[in-house]
Amino acid sequence: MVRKINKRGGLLNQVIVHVVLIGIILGLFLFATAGKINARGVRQQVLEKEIALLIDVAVPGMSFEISKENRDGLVSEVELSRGNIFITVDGLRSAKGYPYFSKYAVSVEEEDDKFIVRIR
Amino acid sequence: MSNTLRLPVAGCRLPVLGKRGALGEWVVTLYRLLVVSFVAFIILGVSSVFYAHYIDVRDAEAVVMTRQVVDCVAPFGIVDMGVFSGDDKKGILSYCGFDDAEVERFFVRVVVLEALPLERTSSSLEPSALEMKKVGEMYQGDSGALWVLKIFGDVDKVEEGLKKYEPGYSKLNYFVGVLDRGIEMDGKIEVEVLVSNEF
Repeated sequence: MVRKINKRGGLLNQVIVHVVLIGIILGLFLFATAGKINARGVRQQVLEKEIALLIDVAVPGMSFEISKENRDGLVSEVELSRGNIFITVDGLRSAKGYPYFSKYAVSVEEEDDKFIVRIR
Repeated sequence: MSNTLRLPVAGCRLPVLGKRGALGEWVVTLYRLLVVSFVAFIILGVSSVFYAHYIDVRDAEAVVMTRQVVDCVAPFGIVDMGVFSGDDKKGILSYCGFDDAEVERFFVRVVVLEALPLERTSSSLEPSALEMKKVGEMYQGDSGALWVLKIFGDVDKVEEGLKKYEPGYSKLNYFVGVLDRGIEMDGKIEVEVLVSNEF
């Protein structure tokens, strides 16, 4: 009889250990993915939309700088392609970019520690 | 019977495990954990790629576009009706110099209204008090997008996931001078801009 109770207790313990371990693994994955991928994505989105809006309102002769060591992360690439702006933040490449609209010619130049967007 | 154990509640038989059996059970447990981890990794990894907090700037874009169009249509506050007299009234953004590919998300409509001559003779009236008549219209883009805006307007509460499909919208009036066949009159322009989503 004593042995039977021990076995039931053992099963219960096993289930609890399973649940706890699965919970820990899910939690780790959740924090890891949300923390790294999602946060970078949001910061990238913020930066792309800020720059797109600046381009929208800019007039010829204007230029603005994007520091590589930006508060939104390390900016390693700024690219303009088919009316979209793509910014790589903390190594995360932009998949879709964000569309801007301008009547003027827009270009990007890279310097040592910054990117310069020029409106001509 | 010597190798099995009957549980009083469930009434089922479980094997009584020796040391080797217990080790095998932990191997199975480890295997299960690995499978669960793998599935969790796939689900969370894929969902994190597709789910991201959406920051909506389309209302701001609509206002920016409104100002750009007003600057184009009424430079120095005067609308030249010669611009609106052509047969092709569908290309206001092209007329203003925008690349079609860059503005395909936009629907823009510009309506020009002119003060009625009778009212205009009363010089004490403010422009906003004048009775106006429509004298010209230009637009560009898919007017069907207005239906999407209407649907969102009719629904009281929109689910968070659907909110990003609600278009950005701006409708502003500007009081201007209207130059028609060499005569300048009081008038106004109504500029309506709708920005669809970029997906």
